[in-house]
Amino acid sequence: MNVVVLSCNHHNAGLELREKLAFASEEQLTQAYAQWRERHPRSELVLLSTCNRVEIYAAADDGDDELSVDQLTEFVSQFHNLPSDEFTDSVLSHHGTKAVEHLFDVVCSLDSMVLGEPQIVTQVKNAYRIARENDSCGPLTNVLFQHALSVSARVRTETKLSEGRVSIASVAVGDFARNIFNRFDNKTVLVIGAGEMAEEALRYLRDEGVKDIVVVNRNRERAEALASQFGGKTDDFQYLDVWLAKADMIVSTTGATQTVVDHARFEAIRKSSERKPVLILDLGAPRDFAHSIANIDENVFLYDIDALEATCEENRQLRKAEIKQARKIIEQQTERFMHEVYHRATGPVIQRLREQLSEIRRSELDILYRKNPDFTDAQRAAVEKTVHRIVNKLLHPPLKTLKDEAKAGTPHGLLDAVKRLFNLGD
Amino acid sequence: MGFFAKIHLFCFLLSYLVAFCVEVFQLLRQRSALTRGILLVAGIAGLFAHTIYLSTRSSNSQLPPLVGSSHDWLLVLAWLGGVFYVLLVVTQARLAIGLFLLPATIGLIVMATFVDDVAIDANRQLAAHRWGMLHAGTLVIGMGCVAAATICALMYLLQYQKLRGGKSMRHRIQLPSLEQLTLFNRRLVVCTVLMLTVGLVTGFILTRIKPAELDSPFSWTDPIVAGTTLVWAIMVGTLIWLLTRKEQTGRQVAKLTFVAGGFLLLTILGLMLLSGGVHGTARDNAEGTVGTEESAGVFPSETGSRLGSNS
Repeated sequence: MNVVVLSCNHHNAGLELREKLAFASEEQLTQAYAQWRERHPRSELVLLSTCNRVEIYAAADDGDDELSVDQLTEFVSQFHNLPSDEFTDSVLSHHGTKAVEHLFDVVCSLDSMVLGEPQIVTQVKNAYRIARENDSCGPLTNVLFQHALSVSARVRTETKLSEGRVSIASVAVGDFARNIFNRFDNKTVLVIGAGEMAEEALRYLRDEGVKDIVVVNRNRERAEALASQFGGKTDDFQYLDVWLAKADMIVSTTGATQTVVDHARFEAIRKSSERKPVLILDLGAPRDFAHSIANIDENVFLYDIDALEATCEENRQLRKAEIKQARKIIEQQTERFMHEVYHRATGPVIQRLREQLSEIRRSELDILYRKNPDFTDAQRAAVEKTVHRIVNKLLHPPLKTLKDEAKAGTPHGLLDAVKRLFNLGD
Repeated sequence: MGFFAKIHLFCFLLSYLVAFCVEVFQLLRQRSALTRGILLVAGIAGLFAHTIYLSTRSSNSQLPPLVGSSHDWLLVLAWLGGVFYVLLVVTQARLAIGLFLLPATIGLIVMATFVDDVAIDANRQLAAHRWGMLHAGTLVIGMGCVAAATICALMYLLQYQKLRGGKSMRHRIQLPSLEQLTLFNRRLVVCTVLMLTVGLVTGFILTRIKPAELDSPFSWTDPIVAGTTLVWAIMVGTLIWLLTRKEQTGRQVAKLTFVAGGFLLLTILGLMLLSGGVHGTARDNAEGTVGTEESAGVFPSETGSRLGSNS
C-alpha cells in the first residue's frame, strides 16, 4: 500500500497561505477530483479542507501507480495556479505508516488548534463523503478512512480528550449558565455590544433554546445585524437600565474604555426589580461591569473574561493529560491497520503456496495408497497426520519471515522470491 | 425461596457501599463506561437484595414492612433511596447525585441494625386499620421528602459555592442547576408538610378511635410525639416563609431547608436510636422486658400501638 499525505495546517502555515490552497466549495472539490482522476486514474484521493488545514491524501496499490509528494505538490500548484515554491516550505508530507498515523492524529483532534474539538470528525466525514461521491475513493482509502473514524470514536470513548469546554463562550454557556439555569426558552438574554464574542455566545445560547434576545448597542445598525441573525430585537442604549432589570442573562462585549455599569447603578436596578437570579457574562476588556456588582446580592452571578479563561485553561490542562493515552491508542491502531493492510498483500501468495503444497501432499498420498492397498484406516490416518505435520513445519519458517517483514511494509522482495522459488505465478 | 431467605442486610449494604466507592472513584479519577456499568450492577443488585430482604421479613411477620418494626420502617426509607439511586444512574448518568444519596441510604441501613427489629402485636392492629397504613405510609414518604429536600439543599449550597468561585476540585462534581434544585426544594418542602400533616393527624385519630387498645394514654410529653410535632412545626414555618416572603434567594431557601431538614432528621432518627431501638433493647423485648419496648416507638400512633401491646 502506498499512502502519501500533503498537509498544510495551522502549525506550519499562516491563514493567508491556507486560504490560497483551500478547496473552499464542493464545486471546487469536484473539479479537483476530476483533474486528479484524469492524471492518476488508478490511484485514490481524499481532500480535507477546513479553516485550519488543507490536506491531500492519496493512495494506490503497490505497483499500480508510484505516488510521490512531488506529484501532489504539482497537482496543487497547477490546480490553484500557484507556484510550488510559494508553499513547499510550509507544507508537511508523510508516507506509509506516518501518513496513516497523521490521519488518525487529525481525526482524533490531536493535531487541532483546540485539542479535543469535535468538529474535525464531521469535517473528515464530509471530506470522505465528497470523495466517495466523486468516485475518488477505492478499497484503500475506504478502509483507511473508516478505520480512522473508528479510531476517533475509540479515543473519544476511552479518554477525556473531548471533555470540558475550552472556548470562552462555550465555557460561559456550558459550564456557568447551564449550572445556574435549568431551561433557557423562558429566559431573556440582554446583549450589550455587538462584538464577535457576543455572536459566539449567542450561538451557544440559541443551541440551548434561548428565544428572547435583546441587543443594545450604541451603533444601532450593528445591533440590528446581530439581532436579526438570531431572531432577536434591539433597543436604544438609553433603555439599558430597563433591560438590565428584566434580563435573566446579560452578555456584555462593548469596546468601552471605562466601566459601563457601575456598582451604584446596578444596585439601584436590583432594588427596583424582583432580585431574580441574573447571570452576567462580562466579556469586555476592560470590564464593562464593576467587579463589586457580584456582591450586591446572592442572586447576582458575575463572571468576567479572566474567570472564564481560568476554567478554559483548567479544561485544557485536563485534556492535555489525556494526550498520552490517546497517542497510545493511535499507535496501537496504526500498527493494527498496517498489519491488516500488509497481511492483505501477502495473503494471496501464502494461500497459493499452501494450496500448491496441499495438492502435492494429496497426490503423493494417493500414489502411496495405490501401491499399498492393505493400509488400514488407522495407518492411513497416521500417515496423513505425519505428512501434514512435515508440510506445516517446512512452511513455518518462510511464512513467519513473511509475516514479520510485513509488519514494516509490503515485503516485495520476499514475495517475489517465494513466487519464483515455488513457481506460484503472478 | 430458600436462597432468598438467606439474603442478609449486609448483602445490599455491601452493594450500596461498592456503588458509593465507585462514585467516589469517578469523582477523583475517571468516569467511564466500565464504572457506570459497575454502578448500575451494584445499584440494581443492592435494590434487588433489599427488596427480597424486606419482602421475606414481611412474609415471615405477616405484616407490611412499613409497620413491621422500626428496623423495617428504616429499611423502607432506605429502599426508597435505593430506587431513586438506580433511576438516577439510568437517566442522569453524568450527575453525581449518588455521592449524596448513597450515604443517606447506607446511613439508614446501618441505623436499622441498631433499632428494634421485632414485630409486635400492636402493629398487627395498626396494619389492619386503614388509618394505620395511611399513618405509616405518609410518615415514611414525608421522611423521604425531608431527606431528599436536605440533600437537594446541600447540593444547592455546594453548587452555589462552586459558581461563586469555589475550589477547582468541586468543578468535577456534576450537579443539577441552581434553578432545578430550588424548584425541587420548594416542591419537597410542600410535599413534606403535606405528608407529615396527614401522618400526624392520622396518628392522633388512631389514638382517639382505638383508645381501648392503648395501655397508656396519649401524651404530648412523650419525646417522640413532642419531637415529631416540633419538627413538623418547623417545616410548616419553612413553608409559610417560602410562600409569603417576597424577596427570597435560592440560597436562603436551601439554607433554611438544610437546617430544618437536618434538624428534623437528627431529631427523629436520634430519638429513634436513643429511645430504645438498640440491639440490647430488642433482646430485652424478646425476653419480655416490655418496659423498654414501650419506648421504642417513633411516631405517636406507633408509640400508642406499642403501648397497647403491653396490656
